[in-house]
Amino acid sequence: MPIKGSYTLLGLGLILMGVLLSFVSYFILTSTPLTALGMSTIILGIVSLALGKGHPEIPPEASALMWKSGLENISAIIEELGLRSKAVYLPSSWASGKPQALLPLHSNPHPPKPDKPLPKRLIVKYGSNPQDMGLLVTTPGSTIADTLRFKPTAMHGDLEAALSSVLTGMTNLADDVRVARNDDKVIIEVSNPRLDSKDMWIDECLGSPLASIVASMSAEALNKPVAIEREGCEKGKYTIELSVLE
Amino acid sequence: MLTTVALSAYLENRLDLYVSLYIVEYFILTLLHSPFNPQAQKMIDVISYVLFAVFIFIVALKVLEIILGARFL
Repeated sequence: MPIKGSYTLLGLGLILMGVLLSFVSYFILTSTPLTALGMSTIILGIVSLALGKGHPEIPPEASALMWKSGLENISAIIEELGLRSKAVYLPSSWASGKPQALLPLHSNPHPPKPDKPLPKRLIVKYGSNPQDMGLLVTTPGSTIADTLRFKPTAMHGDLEAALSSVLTGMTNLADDVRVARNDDKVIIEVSNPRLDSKDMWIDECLGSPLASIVASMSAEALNKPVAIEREGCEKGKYTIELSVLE
Repeated sequence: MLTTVALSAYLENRLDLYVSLYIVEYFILTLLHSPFNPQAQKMIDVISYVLFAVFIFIVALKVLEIILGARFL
């Protein structure tokens, strides 16, 4: 039986048992503790129903398979093109309506700076030079940032709250998130991350999946392009340093 | 469960006390485990509104008991 059905069955069973126990205890046994126990069982049953309703339709194993196959496809494309340049994460106002990552096709010491919002295409031209061509890819962070009910703003507390609600709440990929900001740097500390990198080619360009999610959401919150400067484990926490590009 | 056992050990017979404590425990536990999945959160919110209304009802009855000197529960 799927887990969702188990929660629902458990909830219904608890509610039924609670109602019967409360009824019998109050009217026949006249026992207050048992009546209270029945009422607590009803509350537990309703909460079980709520948790069953919120359980994902697609099993986590299937989600992991789709995630892995998607990442491998993008990694294969990037590897085939021989790209090694670092991606720039663009906010939705600069990309095609949702935050995306721009991978320059040609290595350039200077990060790409699109002069206008980019079209909704895979291969885009982001500048006036003939070599200013790149791949505009959707990352896991693009999808997550798109699903947020309220778009985070540039306020420090907002970005930390948004990242926390996504990483610790919605996706449960970490235990805690802390954000520190300078003028042009954003440092994010993630405690106990549960998403590890598989050392794919794509990690060199887009960063690890966790860094990619963080970069997409930061770009959207700041409404400025960001790039992943460095990431790694430090003092038991995963630190991601982003540079904000003006 | 522990609440029920502890209160019944003290021979507590006030049903409103049991219910009030359950409601407080419910809010504490849901707050500690939040945020939930959005769909679950909607149902949890509905349950919270209902239980809060029950809690306020119990408190209001207790206040009236004190003011009027009568006993309702």
